[in-house]
This record gives sequence, structure tokens and C-alpha cells, in this order.
Amino acid sequence: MKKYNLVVAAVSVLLGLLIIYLSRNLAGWDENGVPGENYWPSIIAYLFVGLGIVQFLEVWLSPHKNIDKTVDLGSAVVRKAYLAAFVSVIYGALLTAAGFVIATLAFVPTMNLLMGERRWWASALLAVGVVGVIYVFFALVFNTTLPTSVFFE
Amino acid sequence: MNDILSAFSVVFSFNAMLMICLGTLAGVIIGALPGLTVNMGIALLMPLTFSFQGMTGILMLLGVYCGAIYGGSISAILINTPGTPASAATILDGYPMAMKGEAGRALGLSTTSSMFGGIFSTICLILISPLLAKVAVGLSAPEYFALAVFGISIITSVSSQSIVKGLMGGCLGLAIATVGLDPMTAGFRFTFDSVYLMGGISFVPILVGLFAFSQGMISMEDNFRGGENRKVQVAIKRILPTWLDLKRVFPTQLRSSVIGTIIGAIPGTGGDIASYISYTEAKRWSKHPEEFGHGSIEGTSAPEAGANAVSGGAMVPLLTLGIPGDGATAIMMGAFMVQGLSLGPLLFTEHPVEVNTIFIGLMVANIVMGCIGFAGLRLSTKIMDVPRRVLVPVILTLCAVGSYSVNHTMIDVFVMMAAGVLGYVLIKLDFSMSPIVIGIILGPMAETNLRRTLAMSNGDYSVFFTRPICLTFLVIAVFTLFIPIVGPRIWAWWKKRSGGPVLSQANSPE
Repeated sequence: MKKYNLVVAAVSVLLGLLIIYLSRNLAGWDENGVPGENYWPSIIAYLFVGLGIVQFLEVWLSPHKNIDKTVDLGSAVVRKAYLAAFVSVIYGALLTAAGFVIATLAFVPTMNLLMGERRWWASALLAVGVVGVIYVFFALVFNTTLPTSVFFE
Repeated sequence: MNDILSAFSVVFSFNAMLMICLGTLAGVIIGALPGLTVNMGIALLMPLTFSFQGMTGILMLLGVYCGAIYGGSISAILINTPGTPASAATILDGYPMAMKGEAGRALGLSTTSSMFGGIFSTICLILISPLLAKVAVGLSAPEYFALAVFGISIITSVSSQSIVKGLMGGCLGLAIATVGLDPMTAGFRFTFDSVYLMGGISFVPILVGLFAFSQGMISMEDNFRGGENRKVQVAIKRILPTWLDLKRVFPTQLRSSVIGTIIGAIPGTGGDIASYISYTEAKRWSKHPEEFGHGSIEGTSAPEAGANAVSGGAMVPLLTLGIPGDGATAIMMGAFMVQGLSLGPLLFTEHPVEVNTIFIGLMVANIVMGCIGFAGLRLSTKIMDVPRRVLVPVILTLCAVGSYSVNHTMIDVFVMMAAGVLGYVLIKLDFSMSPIVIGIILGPMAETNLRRTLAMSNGDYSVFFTRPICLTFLVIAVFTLFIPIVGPRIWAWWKKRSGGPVLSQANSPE
């Protein structure tokens, strides 16, 4: 955890510096003492830098705090979670290309199989169920627009 | 009077009642499923409400809010796993009751107590909030800035693991809120010539990503860690509590409801604190303290009444001052904003029908929650058996569809996914999601009023210290900010000085 806390501190400081850099061309205080566009982002930036330093000090002054705590960001099970996110991104792209019905009919069984379901018919049934229920509630009951294929727009 | 009648006609319309019932049912299901939180439920269903006209969507969210707090008790009693943190104290006596073959009795009492707590706190909300709003109606820019700072200061209280990381999360939320048009000059900030960013980053996809998508990823991980659902193995017989039981737990319900309402009204606290304090007080005042921990009916009723009373209490600062008390109310505040309702003292004078609709809607949601609780208890036990491999695809699909439905743009879907992955990593690093939401929601309010004040005073900061109400809020904000940091150290020092056992953060068993 100590290593990651140091990374968090560094990222906080860098984020603060990045905001200061990005807001360099925004208007500052005018001649009447009225704060401009970069006033609030600057406050946030200095807070990021200050908190990063406090985080560094916390790690430095209390080295034994959270020493037993481990952070798992790369084990096999965590990689499965990243894979789920990656499959979701593909689902997002498929939503754009093929629309809600086709994309969801492909996504739900894929995720279901990815999570260990071995009965293909159960996955297919779930996919049809999810598409049906969401379509009925979102499109028919609540009149919400569902993603449509770019080819049909 | 006309406002109240109009509000009644809104709440008791077919559509609104249907949505309250559906929202409450969804809330109970989400609450009953361990791992799915109140915040996630509200975030996931919030985009759905934008298609509704008027207050119907808000009423649905009130149903989700009430239902989810209550739903946590079902899994706590039946499978010894709290559905929500607020139900953790219910396990202490609810599960032993179930083990003794009294699962139905425990569920009946928890349902009655939840309904009692919710209705009691709603009555308090109706009585207190108009008075508080009258006091607050004369506030101007400096006071609003101080209020926003007060709201942001609760970040230290809602940060579960690390206060510094909680504050960093808050800053992240504030930074996200700066993207887009400058609120004073309408100039572009951090837009990088992107048309999408010119309107600012839509906060709904961020909320859905942080609370729901990240939860989907966590459930995916849990699925492979072998943590499959625990099965309900107790028989449910009689559900309706007997008159004798009700008579015995009534003082406990009343006491716990008062505790829950007061705790709910304090920003930064929540149902978990209310339920534990209610439980402790119930044991202290009980004529049968020896039964606690072994299946006491008072021990089962107290946490539920306390936790559900938080719902009405939390609405007091939200409606009167525009200050969200926790993550759930922060998300609700976002829903109010999307519906064009700006929360705060002016809400009571400018939107009296809407305010009364919220009052009546919250009352009805609590009653519906009780009815659904009694009618659907046997169904709830089946829902808890739904495996994660079914839940995760459903959650992820709803995240995508919900994010899309706000602005009908796929960019929002990808923003949601990015926020979800970020949220997942941040949760692993001991960050809380609520501070980020509080930063996003209160950032514009703080910035606008700070700059407006400085423009009025020609850059003179002393204006914040010469106005009594403003100064009071700032002092409270400083206390709220530092008490979670300094408080445990003072407590440890005091205990050490008085010779008692020291249990500080540094040497606690955790």
C-alpha cells in the first residue's frame, strides 16, 4: 500500500501542476479586483499540490500505517474485471454500429460466458430477457431513446 | 392549501403512484442483494427519470431511496450478510432470530420498524424544513459560498478509509465541474476545442460509472474469487408481527426514529451510524438487555427504525440549504438539478407544489415500502439467490443504456466506462466515490458565489468574516472538516489521560 500511496501523492501533485499549466492562458484578476476564469481552477490546483504533499508526509511520518494492507491491481481475477471493462468498450462500439438490440444480444451472453456460465441456452435466454425487459421499459413505457445503428439514422 | 391539493393530485396520479411502486420495488431488490448499494441503485435508475415529466422521476427516486435502505435488512436477517452498510447492526439480533426459527417474525418487525422510522422522519421533515427555509431565505452570495464550503467539508466524514484521499476525490470532483463554460464570463475552460466538452462533462455518466459500472467490475472480480451468493436456508412462517411484539418494540421504534432523524439531518453522517447508535441505545434502555445478541426483538427493530429515519432527516439540509448529507442525497441533488429544481431556501417560495410533492411522495414511498415488504418477502428471498453471472451483464447493460439516454450521445457511454474503470481503481486505492460526487455537485455553487462575492467587494475577502451567518457556516465547515482528523486523536489522548483503554486508529485491531 505504501508504494501506491506514494504514487497517489505524486499523481495529485502532477494533476495540480497540470491544471496550473492548462489554465495559464485563462483570464486572471482584473484591475477592479474581480477574479477571472483561472481563479477557481488555480485554487483546486494548489489544493491538489497541497494534498499530494500531505500524502507524502503521511507515508513518511507513519510508515507502519496500512503496512499489512495490499493493493491488488494486477492479479488474474482483477484482470478479469479489466476484461469485463474492455468487453464493455467493444459493446459501446457495437452499440454505435449495430444498435441496442443486436449489440446487447451479443454482449450479454459474452459476459455471461466470461463469468463461467456453461449452458449456452441459459445465456441466450438471459440475453433475450434483458433485451426484452429493457426495450419494454425504456422504449415503450418510459419513451426513452435506445441507441440505434449509425447505418439506420 | 392549493399547493398541497396540487401536490396530492401529482402524487396520487396513476403514473406517479406506479413509478413510486416500481422505484420502491427496485430499491428493495437492490438493497436485498449484497454488494449492490443504495448509491448504485439511485445512480443506475436516475437516467431513466429524465424522460418523465414533472416530479414523477423524483418520486421514483424517493421510492428507490427508501426501498434500498429497507431492503438491506432482508439479507441481513436471512443470510447474515447486510445488503447495505445501514443494515449491519440488524445482523446482531436479526440473524439469531432467524436461526431460532423466527425469520418471519424478525422480517415482520424489521419491516414495521423501517416503515415507522421512515414515516416518523417524514413528519419531522414536513414540520422542520419550512421553518428552517424561512430562516435561510435571506441568504446572499457570501452565505451561499459558505454553505457550499460547509457541504464540501462533509467530505472528510464520508471518506471511508483515508481523509486525505477523500479530499483528493473532492478536488477531482471540483476539477471535473470546471470543464466547460465559465459560470461568470461564459468563456471556455479546458474544452480543447471539443464541442462535447463545451457543455461541460455531463455528471450523470460520471455518477453511473463511479457507482454502478465500478460495482459491476467488483462483482465480476468477486465472482472469480469464489464468493458466490449465500443461499437462504431458513424457513419463513408468520410475517405479520403480533400485537404484543408491536407494543413491546414501540418505545424502541420511537427512540430510534428520533435518533435516526437527528443523525440524518447532520451532513456527513448516515444510516450505518444511526443504526448502531439506535441499537446501543435500545440495549441501554431495554428491560431485557441480556437478550441482545441472542435474537432480541428490540435489537432487530432499533437499527431498522434508526436507519430508515435517516431518509427524512437527510432531506432537511438537502431541501432547505441545498447541502447533500451523503452520497445518495448528492446523487438525488443531481436529479433535482436536471429537473430544473435548484435546492435551497428559495425552493420553498418558488416551487411550493414541488416541495409538498416531495413531502407527500416520501410519506407514500415509506408506506409502499412497508406494503411491498410484507407482500413480497417470500419473493425477496428468491431474488437473493440470483447469481452474479446474471447480475453483472444486467448492471453493465443498464449502465450503458442509462448513460446514453441522458443526452442521446455515445460519448456519454464511453465517459461512463472511463469513470467506471477509474472508480474501480480508486476504490482499490481506498478512495470513496461520494466525495467526487459532492465536488461535482457543489463545485459550481461554491465557485459562482465566491467570485460573485469578490466581484461585489472588489476582491476584499473580509466580507466573509463580517457577516454573522456566513462566518457561522464557515466555522461549522472548519469543525466538520477537522473533527474527523483531530477528533480520534483528542479522544485517544483523553482516554489515556483518564487511564482508560486506548483504541486509536493507529493501534486498533483493524
